Amino acid sequence: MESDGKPGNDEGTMTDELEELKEELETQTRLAEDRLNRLKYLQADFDNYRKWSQKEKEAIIALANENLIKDLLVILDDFDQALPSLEMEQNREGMQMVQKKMVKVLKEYGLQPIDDVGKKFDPQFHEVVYKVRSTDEANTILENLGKGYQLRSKVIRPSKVKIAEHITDGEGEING
Amino acid sequence: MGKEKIIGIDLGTSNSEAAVMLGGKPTIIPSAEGATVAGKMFPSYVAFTPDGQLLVGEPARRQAVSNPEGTVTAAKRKMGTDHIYRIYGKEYTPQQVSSYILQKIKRDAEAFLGETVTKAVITVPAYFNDNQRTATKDAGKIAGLDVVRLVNEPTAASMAYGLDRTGEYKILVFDLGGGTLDVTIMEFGGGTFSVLATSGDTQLGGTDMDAAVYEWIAAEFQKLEGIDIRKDKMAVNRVKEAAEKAKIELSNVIETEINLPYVSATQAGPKHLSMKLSRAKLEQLVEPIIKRCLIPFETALKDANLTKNDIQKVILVGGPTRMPVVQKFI
Repeated sequence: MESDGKPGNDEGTMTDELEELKEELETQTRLAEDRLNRLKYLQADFDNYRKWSQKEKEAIIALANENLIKDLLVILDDFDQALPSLEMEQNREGMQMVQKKMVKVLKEYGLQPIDDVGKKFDPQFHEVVYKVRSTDEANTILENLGKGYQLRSKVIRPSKVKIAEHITDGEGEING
Repeated sequence: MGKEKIIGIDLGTSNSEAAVMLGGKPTIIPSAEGATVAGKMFPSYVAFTPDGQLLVGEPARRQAVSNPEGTVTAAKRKMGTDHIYRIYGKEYTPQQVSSYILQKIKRDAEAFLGETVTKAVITVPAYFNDNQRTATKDAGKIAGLDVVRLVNEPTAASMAYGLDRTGEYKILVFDLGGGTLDVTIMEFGGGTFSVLATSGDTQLGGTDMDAAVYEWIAAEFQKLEGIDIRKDKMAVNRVKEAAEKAKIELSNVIETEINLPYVSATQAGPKHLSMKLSRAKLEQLVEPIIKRCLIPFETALKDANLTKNDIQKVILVGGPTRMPVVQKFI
């Protein structure tokens, strides 16, 4: 039996199949590439997130006590207010000892008061509440109206201060 | 490399905030200085000192009293206008001033994320016109940010509550901030939001409530002790902080105690401030402020040709909206 000239058809079918397979291969290769790229993006995202998460964890550990210490600052303020009012020397001394103890504990956690009176105003550490005309150099801190604190290098509460007004330059223009 | 992150910025009149999606969750970007006492990240203050320093955000706010002529606040209100700030012989447009705030946000975001940030979405009030919108985009450009989109503030709030998915409804966004109230009525349908009406009050907010509480404490103390603590600058600071704290606390408890030992002194000796403030009393104190919210609320409904029964969703934005009395009012 003869195959009545079908080899051509077989060849055609095979070519078609080959074309289909080629297309399929291309599609699958593209898909694989896309997925690989997506995987790379996700991997990079995950790596970044892991690094960020680690950094954040360190920051949380480093400043874990910040909120608690911030809340305790009002008690330090109370000590500062109370001490000058205590008349009996013995009472004052006792209270001072309690204050010192508390300050010492907080210092171990990195808390330190911001020095200010006599220094030049610095907005990184101080907040001006008001200014007065003075013979002192402009922007010198004359009075502390609310003690500021920093926890290690971070200012957790700026000092509220009264500063000397610049009066040497023809009374200074104020238009804000 | 992962895909570049796009940060979202709320460029506000008094305060600005920024956030980014991390691990699928929106995360607030902290400023280098940390949050202010009121929990704000970037006060919208820009200052130029006489010796040529540029200060932005919290440091600029801290020196505002001593350098009013060199400090710019609320530049947002001048966006899209021809206004020029003249400071120590130099001129600045509102866009430039805003760009300093955006630059600071960009810088702090980069420090927080540990990667370069060049793309941002910025929110603008729904009532901003084309000029104001272009000015906001320009501010971003000056700051080195490609502003991929401007989103209306009430739309952003609605999206945050997932109201951008399915359905059709009318939304009222009540945004009560520290100093301003914005009321927006929008319609959501077919995947888009359209603004029907906006109204507001630029001089109404949480700070008015803090002031009312502070005044009450001062008046009560004067009644009890005969001393006007408003004249004692040191005491004023402590009382103001305590007033704000009490107001916030009363959103969760029904009574709070304000204790300020040694708040003042007379010749007779030290004076302590100790009083209780109930939520009911607070509500009574802030009632006149809450009542003022009614006008923009009604104006917006009227302008949109709607009644309150037509509104299907209400979105509350801003710290003072956490107060039960504000929620009750709405």
